[in-house]
Amino acid sequence: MPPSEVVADGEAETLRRLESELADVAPPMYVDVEADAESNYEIESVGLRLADVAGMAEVKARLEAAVLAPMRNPELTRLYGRSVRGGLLLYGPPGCGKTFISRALAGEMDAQFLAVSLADVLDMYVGQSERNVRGIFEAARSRAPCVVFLDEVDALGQKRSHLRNSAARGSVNQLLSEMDGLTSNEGVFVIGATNHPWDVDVALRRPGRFDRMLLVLPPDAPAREAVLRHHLRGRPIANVNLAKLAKMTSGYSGADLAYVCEGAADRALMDSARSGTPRLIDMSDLEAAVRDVKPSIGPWLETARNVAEFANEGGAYDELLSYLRSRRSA
Amino acid sequence: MSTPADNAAVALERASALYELRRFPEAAGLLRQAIASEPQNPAAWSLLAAAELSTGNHNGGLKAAERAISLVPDEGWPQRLAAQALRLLGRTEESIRHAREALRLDPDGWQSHATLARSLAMSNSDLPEARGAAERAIALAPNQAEAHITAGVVAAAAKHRSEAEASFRQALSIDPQNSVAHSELARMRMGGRHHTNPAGLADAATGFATSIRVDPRAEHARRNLELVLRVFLAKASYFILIDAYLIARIGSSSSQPAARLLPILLLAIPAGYAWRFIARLSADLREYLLRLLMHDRKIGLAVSLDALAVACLIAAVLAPQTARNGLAGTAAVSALISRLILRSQVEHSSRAAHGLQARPTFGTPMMWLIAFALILAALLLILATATSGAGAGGVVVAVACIAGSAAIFHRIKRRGSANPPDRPGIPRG
Repeated sequence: MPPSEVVADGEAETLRRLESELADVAPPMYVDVEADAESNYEIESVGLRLADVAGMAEVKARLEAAVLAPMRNPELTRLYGRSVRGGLLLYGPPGCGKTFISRALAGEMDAQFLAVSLADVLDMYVGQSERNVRGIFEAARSRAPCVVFLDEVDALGQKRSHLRNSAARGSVNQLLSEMDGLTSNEGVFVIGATNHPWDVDVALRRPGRFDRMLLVLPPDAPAREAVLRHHLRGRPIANVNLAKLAKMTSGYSGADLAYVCEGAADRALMDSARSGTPRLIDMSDLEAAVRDVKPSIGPWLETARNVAEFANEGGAYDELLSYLRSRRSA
Repeated sequence: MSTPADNAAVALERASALYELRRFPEAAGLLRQAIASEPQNPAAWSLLAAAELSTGNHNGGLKAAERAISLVPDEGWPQRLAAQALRLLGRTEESIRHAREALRLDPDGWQSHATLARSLAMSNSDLPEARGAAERAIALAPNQAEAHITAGVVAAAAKHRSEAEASFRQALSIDPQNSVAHSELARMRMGGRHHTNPAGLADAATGFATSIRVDPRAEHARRNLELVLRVFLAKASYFILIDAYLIARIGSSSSQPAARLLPILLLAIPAGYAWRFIARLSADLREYLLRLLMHDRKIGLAVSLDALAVACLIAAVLAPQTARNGLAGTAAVSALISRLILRSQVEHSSRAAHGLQARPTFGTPMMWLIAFALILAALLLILATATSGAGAGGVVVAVACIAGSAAIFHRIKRRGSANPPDRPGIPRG
């Protein structure tokens, strides 16, 4: 029984007053059941812009065309018969910057950013999944304009044919209902990110839901250079040629590049410990680390190849197919 | 304040959700954490065993299942998991023992009967009992696709092909998205060892492609598909070789018009075989076959040699009597080399489909032998050219032999140098 039902009308006002007095001490508990949904999810203002994303020119251009331009020119978009509604599904190998791009997109829209992680989704499976999904969207609507970022959306929107757990099925159904905007979604934009778009329920990819898909590939050379620079920042380095390293690490994800920098630092540290004299991380450490760390996207590419070649219904994975072909012919 | 048992219970619930989402490595990681805080939790050990088995870590799965059994010896699930792990490890007798124990503990569970049926089918020891167990599993759970797949596996082990196909079809009628059923049915359609039915091969290729479509992680289906395509090419090449041999033996020595047309008539056999196979393939499978020809260098070479053989056989019809022997001989040699390449490709593919490491086409001793034979042949050719005073043709062939032996020595050297171990990247971001 919800708590509001056990509170008599006369007492409600008193409790509401007490609650407002205690607002800084404790979150609302007794009167407004729906209000606690907002407090469960952290909504933040993002200072990032797409210009802060190094390289990835093609992704940025597609984001501009598919999302930003229609949003900035809603009348023009309607004139050309395009919809301004619907969400965006970012997919690609793990560790390639889908989250970072989403945050930059939210910044570009001057919108708040509400991120839902896999841990949040698992909490939903353990708790009341449908209510929690509703809570996410209510929190976003209350802070519109807001970007709802559903990380690893395949966990929340898994193909229902795969699911036996009723909580999980309920979460998919609720997500479908929220995205359809049975209640108004004005000012709420939903971005899903997944490494496995083939596991996402097809109903979620219909018009008005995640009807735009964008492939986020491993970082290109300028992006790799920026990622390496970021991970080497604050470490003692000498004579490092980032352009050469970026050239050597084609096909590496952002996470792999972080691992390369860690490996190089480990090498220099061990060497310093052995000799008793601290030394700087140099190019030879980084080159050795690059040789040691292999790109981690191999298994993802194997599955992606199967999907692109045998399950590319309606050309949904044409972009992926052309990338895989270009890799093969390279 | 939450106790370790509370934390373990939450972790177990989260791990169950991850397991259902088929995120097996993440589920296993979470379960290890849960076990660290509550090592006596049998459910955590059992789910860890299931997750490890799903990631292909059969030894890890067995260890976890054994630990669960030690904690709850009177429960059926850990016994079934142990039976499954042992079956996958090829330890069939122990697998059967655990499956029987699981059945004793849980006689009304369809999974217990199915597990016993699978273990017995793998050992090939008591197929009638396996069949009985599979039938009981179906009787207990007629709407479970897995029960029908088990019946199909047992029927296939007993070589009751039509019965097996019917079971897999029944499984698909219950669950049309069942990748395993698609794959098993495709395996049935491949037919016997000789693969003389191109339509069956094409249906098998289609079945494996469907299996990949419904489950893109089904790497076994991918490997089986590659095997089917290589088997088709090897079989077509075999027919071309037989044609070339017959024409070299019969056709070239005869001046009868009918005999001269023999190459064309005989070519209808591989052409018909290829047509029947390709015509049944879907557009995406044809495209895939084309990519295989274009991107796999060995397959491309073999098919080019087959094309050369066919061209020589056709040319033999039009060429004068004197050139016919040469053309037929060239066709036979080309077809023979192509056949050898494709046979080795089929073997490689077959080993890969069975999860075995690829074996080199020639062992190192054989490569040494070939290299020395080439050097000897080169020396003999140079000697013969020098003593007979013949043209430069012999010297050119001798130089080619020496170059070939040098290439083989280089290959042997490369094979000898050990590859440095790779440091794996980060599995998931």
